Amino acid sequence: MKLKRKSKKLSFEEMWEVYRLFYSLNPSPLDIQRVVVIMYPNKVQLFKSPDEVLSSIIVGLYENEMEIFLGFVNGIK
Amino acid sequence: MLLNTWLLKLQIYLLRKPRFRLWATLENLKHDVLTAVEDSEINLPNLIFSYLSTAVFIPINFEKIYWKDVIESFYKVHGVTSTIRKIPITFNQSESKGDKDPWDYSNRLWPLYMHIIAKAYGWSDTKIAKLSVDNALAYIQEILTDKQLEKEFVWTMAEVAYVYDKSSKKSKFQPLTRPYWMITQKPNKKAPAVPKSLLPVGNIVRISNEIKEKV
Repeated sequence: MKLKRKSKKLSFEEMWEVYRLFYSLNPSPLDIQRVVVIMYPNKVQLFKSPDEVLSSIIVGLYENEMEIFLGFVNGIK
Repeated sequence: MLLNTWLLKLQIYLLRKPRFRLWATLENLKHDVLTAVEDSEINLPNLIFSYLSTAVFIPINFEKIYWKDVIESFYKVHGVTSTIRKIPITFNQSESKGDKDPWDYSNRLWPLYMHIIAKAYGWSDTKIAKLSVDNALAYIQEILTDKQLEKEFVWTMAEVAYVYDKSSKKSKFQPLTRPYWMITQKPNKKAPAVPKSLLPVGNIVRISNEIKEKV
């Protein structure tokens, strides 16, 4: 069965945390884990491989329109 | 969550130009937000929330609001609080942007501006707080211009203003440096230098010279 993993709609605090963790120079496995917990709070145990985790993060970033958030941050910088 | 979002959107929609004191507080908070983004500080959300809470009148729980609504509100508050009149003191760029006075402290903008106006006109802080932003900034520029011109007059009579030049054996007047907003901003139109190796081979006919000769 294919799992539907819709990511959570993030608040500003969560989005900023995802940005700081995932867009830091070398995100550690713990950082990645934290990003997954923020985006998929009730579905973490369903992830089986690192590839699945990364692709789900990318889907989560896309669903939360990270490019607009990056535009906001870079616009200020 | 929905109630908070709705409350925020409604209040932002009803937002009007703030009076001088509120504007100065918002400008201070905005400056903190911009610095926090630049330094990727962990407390950025709290700073943005306090900026928005200061702008609106009914308290809101920002923690549950979708991030896009927060950013949209930030931009709208920023838009409403922007000054309308183009006053050189607000739009000319200071070259020494990063320099801070050792006696500087957070949220200093209001006490500083209030002090400048109160000292010159003798108005109470409540009267100054209620001024329109554009008028208050225009008053501040006039006060500072007056002060500068007064200083320049005193400077012309001071001995240190005349530097002795050994080669010509004469003293030369050294004008007092003016603040950034009193200096005419010249657009930087100087064309970039092209390396010799990239220039075309042969005679170069400059059209601008030909036109001058014809005239």
